[in-house]
Amino acid sequence: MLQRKISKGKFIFAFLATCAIFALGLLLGLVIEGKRINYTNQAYQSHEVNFISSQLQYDYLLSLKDQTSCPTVYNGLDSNLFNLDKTREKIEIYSQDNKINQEEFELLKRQYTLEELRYWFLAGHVKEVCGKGMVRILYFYSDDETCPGCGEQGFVLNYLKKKFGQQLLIFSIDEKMNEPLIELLKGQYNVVKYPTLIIEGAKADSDNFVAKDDLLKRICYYSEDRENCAVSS
Amino acid sequence: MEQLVEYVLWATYFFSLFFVIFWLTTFITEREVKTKKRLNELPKVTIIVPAYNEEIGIKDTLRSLAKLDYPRDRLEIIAVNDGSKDQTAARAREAIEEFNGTDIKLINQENKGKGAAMNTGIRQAKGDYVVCMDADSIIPDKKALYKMLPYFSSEDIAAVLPCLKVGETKNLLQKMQRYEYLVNMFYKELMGRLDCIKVTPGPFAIYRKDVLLKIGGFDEVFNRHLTEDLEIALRLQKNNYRIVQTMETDVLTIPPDNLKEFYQQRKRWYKGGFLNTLRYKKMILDRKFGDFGLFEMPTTLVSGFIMIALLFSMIYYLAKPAFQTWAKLSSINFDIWTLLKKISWDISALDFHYSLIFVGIVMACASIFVIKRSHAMAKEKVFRYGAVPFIFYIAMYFILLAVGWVVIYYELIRKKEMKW
Repeated sequence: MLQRKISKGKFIFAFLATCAIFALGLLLGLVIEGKRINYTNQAYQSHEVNFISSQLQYDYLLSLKDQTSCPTVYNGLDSNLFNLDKTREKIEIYSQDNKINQEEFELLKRQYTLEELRYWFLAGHVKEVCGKGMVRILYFYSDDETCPGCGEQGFVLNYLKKKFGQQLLIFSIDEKMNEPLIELLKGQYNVVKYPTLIIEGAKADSDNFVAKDDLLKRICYYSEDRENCAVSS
Repeated sequence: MEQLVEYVLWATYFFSLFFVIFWLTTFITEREVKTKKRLNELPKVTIIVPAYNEEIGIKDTLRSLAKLDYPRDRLEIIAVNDGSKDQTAARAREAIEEFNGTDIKLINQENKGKGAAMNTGIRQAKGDYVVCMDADSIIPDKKALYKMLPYFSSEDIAAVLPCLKVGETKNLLQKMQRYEYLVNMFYKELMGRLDCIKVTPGPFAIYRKDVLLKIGGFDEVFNRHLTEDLEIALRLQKNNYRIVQTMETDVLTIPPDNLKEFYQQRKRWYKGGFLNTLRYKKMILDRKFGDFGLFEMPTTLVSGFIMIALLFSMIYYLAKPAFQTWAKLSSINFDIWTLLKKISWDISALDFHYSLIFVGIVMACASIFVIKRSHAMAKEKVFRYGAVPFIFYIAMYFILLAVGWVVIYYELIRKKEMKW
């Protein structure tokens, strides 16, 4: 009769080899995580310099009252904000994948959110000098669980941004961020549900998803963009 | 939910990789120990062809058997017509007339199932060895018996199996099954080295007749509509007999060429595998049965779950973004042109999920190695039918199988009776 055997050695080897491959994969993930943190830290320094540049352009406008330079300043603001937003979106994705460096990513997210708010204030000041020509939207979003409509709202905003270009500036704020200034803003605009849009300092009526056409009308109320606002007006 | 899906997916990856590494370790460390004995006196062999509604294939099957190179006085062929409703009996008679020099018998019986048809043949058989031959298969190798019989080198070897291959293929489904059959052969060959073969498929499996009689023949009741070839293998394992997988002789079978028949066959196989494993559940994790109890039996039970987990994870990861993208696009009235006009690519090397990519690459390499070795072992070309069936096999085939498993679990839960 057949003498049965147990391939104990093979089982142990296969188990250890599988663990080793997974550990290697995990290690690779951790190395990448470190690189991502370095990259976003370095990018932040570049964004800081960009902000100083925009700030100085505003100072220039303020001191010389030279409205002919407004398009150039708007262009700089738009471009800097675009880059800032791209990095912020990357941090959001990196943060979701992140396994260990949670605190560092939280700090980075906070830095970038504050940077967005700095731009929001600065854009407000620039608008005071330049008058109409640009619309600011403060967009409060949250995670999928708290805000199922945020994915679509972000998409609609992104779409309208592509249409309006530098005429529309969107400042995205994660409501879950533990930041006193965000709490202050939420209190001031009575933000309790998400998504919430603050368009040129006025809260959109509904505490919920604002559809494309409705949002277009609201933007056009403040905008001078004749091409995109011709139909809605 | 996302977290749960991720855990399930990682667990599935882990088990899949563990199995593949275990096979490869077996491949590298377990050298073939198959010994052959010299056939001083040729034993008498009986080939039994159980047939139910096989009017299309039975004639070719009997023809290929009649052409086998083996002394006529040592070879007996018994076709058992298991109450067919078509012209199976007539086609068998035609073949008998065509080869009237060969000892071919036709037995007609009421429909009782394949196991019962085999047992009818065994009771009539004069041979020391009985061969089961499905009526939809042919054996192109005329020397098959000369090549396979020497593997019965010791008393504990109860069955010897040929290399089961797919014959001529007409469509993509059959071409994908060709890959599956060859990978299965590789797997069975490896498991044979550990005495872990769990099925003795119908086409040209040779059994020692005295062993079959000793263990009670084929199951006629429980597996009437299921998988008697799987049950007999489990019973042989339970009685500590060995099953040898050879790669020297090929048997060609015709796999289903449409999804309806494909799923009927898979339902029978997988359900039979699952239920028979449960029937012999006492062997599961029993150290007395060595690797068969500790590895092969549990693998049979979990393989369906792994397939289903992979399917649902894939659906989740593909369907969720697809649904979200649809909702997003509908929110801008599908004005995709504006999005495309001002598209900005900002992808850096850091954006990729390297842990997943790494494990994926390891698994892909291991899979490609297994496919290459399977083909080398069976002396077949990987790209015999071009790259398209290969790509479909790698990317899509598991979906077909997983859908089959979903149906089976659904039927098991609903306790639906099996028909074949």
